[in-house]
Amino acid sequence: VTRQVELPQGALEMLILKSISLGPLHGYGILLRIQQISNERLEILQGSFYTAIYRLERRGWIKGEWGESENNRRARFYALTRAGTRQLKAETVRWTDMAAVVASILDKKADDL
Amino acid sequence: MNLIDTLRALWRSIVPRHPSDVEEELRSHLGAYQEDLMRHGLSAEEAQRKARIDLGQAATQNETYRDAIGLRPFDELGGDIRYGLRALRRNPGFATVAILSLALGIGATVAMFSLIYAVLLHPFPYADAPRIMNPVCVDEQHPDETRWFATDKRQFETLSEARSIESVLGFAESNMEITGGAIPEDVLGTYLTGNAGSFFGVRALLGRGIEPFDDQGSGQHVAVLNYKFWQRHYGGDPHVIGRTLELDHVPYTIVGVMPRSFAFNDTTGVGDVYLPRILLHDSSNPPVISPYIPWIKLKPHIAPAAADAEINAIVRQFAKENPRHFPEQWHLQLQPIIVPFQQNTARTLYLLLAGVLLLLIIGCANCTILLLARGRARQHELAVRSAIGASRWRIVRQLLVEAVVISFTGAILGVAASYWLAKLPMQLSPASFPQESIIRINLPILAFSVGLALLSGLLFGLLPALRLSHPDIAGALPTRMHGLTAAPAKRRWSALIAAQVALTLLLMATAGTAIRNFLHLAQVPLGYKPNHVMQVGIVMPFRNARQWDSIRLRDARTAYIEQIRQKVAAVPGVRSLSVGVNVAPPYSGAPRNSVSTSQAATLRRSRRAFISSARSTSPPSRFHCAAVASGTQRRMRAAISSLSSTRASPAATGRSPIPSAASFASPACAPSARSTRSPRRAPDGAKSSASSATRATTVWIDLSHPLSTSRTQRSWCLTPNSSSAPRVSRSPICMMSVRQSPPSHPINKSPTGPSISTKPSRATHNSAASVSSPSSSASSPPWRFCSRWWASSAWSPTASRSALRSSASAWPLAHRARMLCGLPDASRSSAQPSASFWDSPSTRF
Repeated sequence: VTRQVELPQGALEMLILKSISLGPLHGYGILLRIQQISNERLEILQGSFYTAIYRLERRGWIKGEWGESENNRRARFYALTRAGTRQLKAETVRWTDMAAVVASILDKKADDL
Repeated sequence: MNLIDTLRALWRSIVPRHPSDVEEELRSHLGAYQEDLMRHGLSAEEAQRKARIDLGQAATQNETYRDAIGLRPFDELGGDIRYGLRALRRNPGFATVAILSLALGIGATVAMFSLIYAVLLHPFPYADAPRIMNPVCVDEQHPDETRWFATDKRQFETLSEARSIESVLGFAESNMEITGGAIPEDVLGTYLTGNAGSFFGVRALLGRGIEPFDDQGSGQHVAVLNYKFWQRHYGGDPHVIGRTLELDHVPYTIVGVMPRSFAFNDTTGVGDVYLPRILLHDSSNPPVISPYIPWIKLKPHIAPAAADAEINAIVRQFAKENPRHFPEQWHLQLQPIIVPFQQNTARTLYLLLAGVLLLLIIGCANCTILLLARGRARQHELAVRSAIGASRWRIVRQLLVEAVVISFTGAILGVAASYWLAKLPMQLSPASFPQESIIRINLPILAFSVGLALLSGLLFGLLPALRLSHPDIAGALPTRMHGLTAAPAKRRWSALIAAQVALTLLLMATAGTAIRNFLHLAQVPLGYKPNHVMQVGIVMPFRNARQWDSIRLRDARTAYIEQIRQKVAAVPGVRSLSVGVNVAPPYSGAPRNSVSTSQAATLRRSRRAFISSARSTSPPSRFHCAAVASGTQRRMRAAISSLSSTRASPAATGRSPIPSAASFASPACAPSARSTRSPRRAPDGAKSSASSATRATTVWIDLSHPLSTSRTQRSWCLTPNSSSAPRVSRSPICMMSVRQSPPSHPINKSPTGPSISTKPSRATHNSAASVSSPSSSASSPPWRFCSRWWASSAWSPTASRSALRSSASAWPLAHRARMLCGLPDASRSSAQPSASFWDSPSTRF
């Protein structure tokens, strides 16, 4: 049984950036990809999903363009901009650093303290 | 990087995606999701339902989008504003009362502010006006009396080299006359050093200003026109550049017209024409010793104290060189050029501003009460809103927005009204303000009014908003609806009303004080009645040393003036006549070299007193020569010109020669190139006398001063003269004050008088009138009449009869004449003017 994980503040944006770093995707595709990569452990509230997309687009990190989806549906495809790529890199470093520090603290046994 | 991001984000907010675009994206997402769900086995209907539940409606997606990109507050604000406007439209009675009471307050406040802005904060068009200083000498024994000083060329250069000074402008003024036309017109020429262009930094309206190359070598004979003079004399002709203007028989080429805002200089008199300084020596003989009155522009960031100390030291040196030009104990003060106006009007203006601010506060209080009253009717609505989830802050905000909508509507009306309101004080009291200041709506004033509207909206809206949004009140809706009023609310109401009554009283008191202050300027008691008094200035500009010698004898001058006096006294309609050396009492007789800037201000005030006391319904209007030709002024002209022709050629006219005239028409008056053009040339026999008269053009009469005069009438006595007499050509002056009898007397045309014909012409009405000499008189008069005629309604034939009679009967003639100039009544003592007149220091020319 896999446990469901809730995302902390700001993580959704990072995941969106990451998921389109491999290639342009439309909104539904992004959702699917995140769920697929996380092995369905992440349940993303679809309502807040678009808010995140809009914010990213407003910051200029992603760029949307209309195109044709795999089953011939008109859809808006998002791609990373150059600023978005930079942002993703910076965020990844920040996140891994933070996770490492937090994990190392949490891993300490009572004797080590 | 960060900045670029911010800008990009801002740009997205300003140019958001189109709503249909956002909707379509979600619809496409919904479709894909739905298909997926159906693939997992849900029925089409169920899939659609689940997709809707998870994602929301496509129709409302745009709101989510706008919220996400941070546009929501604006949307809500826009909604509140629209709602506020609708509420106003629903309730027009309330809206009208509230808006009008605010419009009044805001309009008056904006008007006062724009007046203050135009007069005190930003009156001059000059570049870096705050750094332009007026160096004045303060007499330590009479600290109110500040004087200017003039410098000679070397001193001027020394001054320019001071370390704290960026540049120094030197100017001098001279009365000139426009010659070459039928009637000479007096103008004030202002000589400016060549750096005037860079010093003022004001671009010419047409052509160019005075430039450095005009002021080099022997100087170019060029003239730059003042805007008002251009309008008056040339009718605003745009093709005036390149034309020739003849001043004192010297042709000048017009090279430019200054813009309307440029009226240099308002303290001593606004020049009509601006000429290169170097020409001053050319036109005046003997040369003026100290032809530079300095205006100083300090370097930026110079401490006033440092500049003061340095320039003080320099001027002390000047004082050592010419101790006569300075008081015994004095110190120098660098006075910002605005100071004279600040002294005159600042207090009154700020008082008026306080008054109108009170008016605004009262308007706000009105609105508060109205809003509270209306709020009671709206409590139901507000209670419903809060019941369906509006927060208190949301309701407060909405009520405040409604208040601001009211105040802005009021402000729009008020600003429109202030456009006219602001001009009112200028029209009531034109002399109190710098001529340069033009009142117009500009950016600072608009910003001020927007700020004022916001502030007053918040001010009057806050109390009702807080009260009406109070949860208790909203909750107590049902009982309130039945008209039960709690005691505390009643008390608050009466407190508001009491406050408003108190404010109104305060306003009345303030307004009363302000208006009294304002009117006080126009009601300085003079000690005599100026009605029906005309002042005649006889100015004798002497052009060379020999001419000067010929009138140096006091007796010669005395006899000469006495002749004129007798001639004028004999004119029908002249009640009494007296002679003085200065402007009208109470300031006559003041030694000219101590007319100070403060006195100048007082004088200006007293002049206004003349206006207001002599004015009936209409303001003094400009009289064309034709209008003046009827009545006393014309007969006086006739008398004076007949006198002058007698003087010019005693043998030709066969009248008994007037003894002292000889000294004026003597060979001492060097022949000059002057010619006074007269439409009708004298017959041959009189030609020689005509030319001799022409040569004797040393004296001219300035009939321009009926005592009630107007701002645009330059008053020559206002110069804060130093004893070095920077004003070159107006030294010997005799003033005659003539009291006219009521015009109910039958008017007889003087047989020897010149007739005046007028060709009405809008553009050049000054020169349109031509004087034709009577055939018996051999020559054109050597006297110069000033063609700038100004007449008050009291002097004009249209004045009300009863006013004339009452003033005539109330003042015994002898007494009146005596009061006129502080002299023995001239019509009684015909022989000699009083000794005091001729011995007064200012008459030792």
